[in-house]
Amino acid sequence: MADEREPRFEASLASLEALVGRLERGELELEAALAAFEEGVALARRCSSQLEAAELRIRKLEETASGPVVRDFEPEEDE
Amino acid sequence: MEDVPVLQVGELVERVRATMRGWGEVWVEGEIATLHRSRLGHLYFDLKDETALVRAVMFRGDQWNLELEPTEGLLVRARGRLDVYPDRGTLQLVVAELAPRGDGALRVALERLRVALAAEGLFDPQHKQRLPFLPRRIGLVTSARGAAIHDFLRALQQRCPSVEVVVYDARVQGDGAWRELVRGLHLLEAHADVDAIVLARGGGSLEDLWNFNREELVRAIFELATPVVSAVGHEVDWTLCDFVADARAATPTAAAELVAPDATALLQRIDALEARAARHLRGQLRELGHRLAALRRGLVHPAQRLGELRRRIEALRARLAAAAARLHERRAARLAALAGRLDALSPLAVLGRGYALAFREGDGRLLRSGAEAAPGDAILVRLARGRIRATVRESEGGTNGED
Repeated sequence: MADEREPRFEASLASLEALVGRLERGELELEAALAAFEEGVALARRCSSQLEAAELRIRKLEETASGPVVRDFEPEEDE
Repeated sequence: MEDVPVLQVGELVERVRATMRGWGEVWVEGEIATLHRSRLGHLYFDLKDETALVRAVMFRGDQWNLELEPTEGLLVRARGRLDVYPDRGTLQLVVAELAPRGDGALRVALERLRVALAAEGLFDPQHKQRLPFLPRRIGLVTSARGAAIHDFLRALQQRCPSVEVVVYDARVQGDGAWRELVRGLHLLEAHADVDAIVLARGGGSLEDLWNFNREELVRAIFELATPVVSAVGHEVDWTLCDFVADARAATPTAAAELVAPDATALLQRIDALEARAARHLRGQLRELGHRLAALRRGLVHPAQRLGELRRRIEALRARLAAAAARLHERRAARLAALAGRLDALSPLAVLGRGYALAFREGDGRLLRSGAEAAPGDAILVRLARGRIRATVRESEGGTNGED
């Protein structure tokens, strides 16, 4: 179902773009520019961390006597 | 004639039935004709081809497995056993399973269902849900042993490995496979907390894909709260799932591209944004530095100012001293000149010519007349060289005209 993290990613990315735009238009005093920059770096880090993973995590939903269970899963190589 | 065994009708029919029971189940292909449903829900129809016709019945209890609503004119393949209806002596096929046969017939049935569901609004764009931009977890309903799961997982691994996948292993063809597909959708939504579900299967014939045209599956996708991507078949194939799903992918690989963003490209975009921010901040700082330097040039520290004043004072003092020295020299020169001129007028110079000056002792007054001194006064006489102290013996007044 709709996860809270997902819209946050998109919103974070949009905020980051808006911040960079404001910096580039030179709308900000130094103090505000520094704050905007710090916020931008934090946003970039947050966004990146959600994308950085080396390996796909694959799990499997199985039905057991005690109900559905999600377990780690290694798909067979052959077909 | 007496030797020939004669059977009662019941015996004959019973023998025929026994023989036919011996055949076991048969598969028959034919077109449905003169179909009607009894009050009890049994289906009665004829199966026919160009040369023959056989009566058939499908009892209600066997109909749970029906792939589609039988209609007249539909070419079907029926599995069942033969029997004779004793009251009429007619041959009857008791059908246990009935599946559409032949692409033409399937497509007719499919098109009819598609039109009906479309009229109901199940395929309307306004019901399509937006796919998440970056899903945290994706559900995958497919066969764990098929090619589709490998294609999908490989593509997703390449594109966005931060996504988690929860697989529901379901049969994707054959009788009743659609039930497993529906179950997988419901279980993933209820128990796996997924942001989107991909329904995947490799390509195949219309018959292979038939489960994905099941009305029940189409309705389940429509009613699901989670967005569904249909990735059934390959390019040219389509199923009703493609129409009802929130997004359609031509292949399982394309589904991975649809359901997750390109992580590498996104990371580059984020890096570029960060670099742009840093570059402009540096630029702003550099510009401020320049402005600051310019301001500093105009701004003098008090200590520096004192030093400057001191230097100015030193310079002034030096100039003053130089001026004083010059003035002194000029004065000295002038003095010497004046002294020369004065010398000519000096009384001493007059004395040199033999004159003497007399002063009254006591007040040192220069005496210019005899009346200024009385006998007995002590006077001092000054000569060109030296002086004489004397006492007045006698004095007499004179005029002042001598001055």
